[in-house]
Amino acid sequence: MLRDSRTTVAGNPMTDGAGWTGSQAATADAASGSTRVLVILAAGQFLMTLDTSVMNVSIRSVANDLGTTVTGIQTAITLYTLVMAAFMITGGKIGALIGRRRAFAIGLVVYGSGSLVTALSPNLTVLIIGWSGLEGLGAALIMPAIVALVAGNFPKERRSSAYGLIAAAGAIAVAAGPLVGGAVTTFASWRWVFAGEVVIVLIILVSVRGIKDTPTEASPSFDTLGALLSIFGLSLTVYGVLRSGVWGWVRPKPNGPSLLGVSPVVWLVIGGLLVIGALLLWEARLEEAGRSPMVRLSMFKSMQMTGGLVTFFFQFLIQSGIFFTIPLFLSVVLELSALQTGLRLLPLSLTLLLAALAVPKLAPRASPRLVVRLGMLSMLAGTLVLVGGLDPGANAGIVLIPMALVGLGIGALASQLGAVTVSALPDSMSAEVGGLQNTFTNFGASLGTALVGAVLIGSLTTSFITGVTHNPSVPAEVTAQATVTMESGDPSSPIPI
Amino acid sequence: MAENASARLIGLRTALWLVALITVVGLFFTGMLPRRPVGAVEDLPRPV
Repeated sequence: MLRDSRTTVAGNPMTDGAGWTGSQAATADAASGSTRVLVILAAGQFLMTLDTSVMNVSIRSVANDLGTTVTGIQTAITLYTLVMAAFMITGGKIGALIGRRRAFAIGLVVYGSGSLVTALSPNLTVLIIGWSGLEGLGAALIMPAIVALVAGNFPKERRSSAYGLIAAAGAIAVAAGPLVGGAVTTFASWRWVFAGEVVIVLIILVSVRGIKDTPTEASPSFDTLGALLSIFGLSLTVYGVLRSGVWGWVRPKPNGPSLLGVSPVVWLVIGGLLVIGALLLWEARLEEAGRSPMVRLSMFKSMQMTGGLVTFFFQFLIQSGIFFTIPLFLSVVLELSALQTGLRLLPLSLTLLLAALAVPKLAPRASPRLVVRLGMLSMLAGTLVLVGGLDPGANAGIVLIPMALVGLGIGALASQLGAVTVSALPDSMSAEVGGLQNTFTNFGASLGTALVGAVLIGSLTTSFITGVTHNPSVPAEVTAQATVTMESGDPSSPIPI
Repeated sequence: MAENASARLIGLRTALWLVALITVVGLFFTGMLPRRPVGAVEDLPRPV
C-alpha cells in the first residue's frame, strides 16, 4: 500500500533527500500513519476476539483451579459474550457522544482492569466479575469504536481492505486462541493468558494518541430508554437460554425453581422477547419523530445489510457451538492436555486463515452468496463427519478432517460477510452498522455456547441416569444419589463431564 | 464407569447434531445475500 501511494501522487518540483516530492512524502507519511493506526485497531480486534476462544481448551483446568465445574466456566464464557452483546449498541452510541477514540481508550482501561482481576481471581465469582463483567463492558466500548475509527482514519478507497484486515485479525484470534490457551495452560497457568492481555492493553493504550478521532454527533442526545430496553431484553433472553441446562427448558428440574408450574427459562425468554418488541416500537417512534434513536430501524430495509447480519449471527452461533463441543471431546473424553487439545484444533486454524486470505485473492469476482453457501456446506460436512466418527474406540485423529472442513467454511464466510454488511449502506452510517454487526455476532456466540452447552449437558444427564437405572450392578441408593445430583444441574456439584 | 463414557459420547453427538441443524437453518437465510460481488460495478474496468 505504501508503494502504491507513492507512485500515484502527482509530481511536485520540491523534492526531499530521497528524491520524493513534498506531497509524495506527505502522502507516504499519511500512509505510514494509517498503517500504524490499522495495526493498533487490528490489535484491539485481535484481543477482543481472542478472549472468546482462548479458554475453550482450558475449561477443565480453570474449573479445577477455581473449584467449580464445566457448567460454571460455561457460564463465565457465555456471560462474557452476553455482556458484550447486550451493551454493544449502547457502547457504540456512547462512542458517538464522547468521541470514538476516547471510548476506545476508556474501553481499554476497563478491559485491562478486567483482565487483571481475572488473572488474580480466587474463585468463580471473581472470575465472572473480571472476565464476564469488566472485560465484556470494555469490549462493548472498544469494538464499535474500531469500526468507526477505521471509517474516520482511512479514505474511502482504502476502507474495504482496512475492514478486511480487521476481520482477518479477528479470524487469526479465533484460530490462535485454542493454541495460545493450550500452550500457556500446559506450560504455566491459564492465569498468564489474562496477565498477557494486560500487557497488550497497555501497549495499545500508549499508541492511542496516533489515532485520528471522528467528529462527535452535532446534537448529542442519548436514548436512555432504548439503551435500557436493549440491555434488559437481550440479557433476559440469553440468560434464560443459559440457565436451561440447570433449570430445564419447560419442565422444571428436580430441586430447581419453577414459576406457575414451568421452568423460569420460559418466562425469561418470553419476557426478553417482549422487552425487545417494546424496544423496536420505541425506536420506530423516535425515528418517526425525527429524534436520535439507539438503532435506526430503517437500516433494516436494506436486504443486503440484514442478510449480512443474519448470516453473521448464524456463523457465530455455529462456530461457538463447535468451539465449545470439540475441545470438550478432546480434553474430557480423550483426556488430552490443554496443549494437545489446542494442537488438534490447528487444522481448523490453518484452513480458516487459508480460506479467509485466499478467497478474495483467487476469486475476487465470486458471488458472496455462493461463497457463503459453499462455506456453510463445508462446515456442515465437517460436523457430520465428526458425528459419524464419535464412538467409544475413537482417537484424536478423527477430528483432523472435520476441523479442516469447518475451518475452510468459517474462512470463506469471513472473507465475504464484513464487506457485504458494511458496504450495504452509506459510509456515514458505518458506525451504526458496525455496532449492529458486533451485536449480532456476540448474540450469536452467546446463544451458541448456551444452546449447545445446555443440550450437551441435558443429553448427557438423561443418558447417564438411564444407564445407571438399567444397570443391575449399581446399588439403588447410588442410582438415587446420582440421579438427584445430575438432575439438579447445580454447578457447585460435581458432574461427570 | 461405562455409563459415564457412553453418556459423554451421546451428549457430544446430540450437541453436534444441533450444530448441524443450525447450519442447515442458516443456509436458508443466505438467499438474502447479494449474488454480485460487493463493489463489482465500481471495480470493473471501463471499456475503451
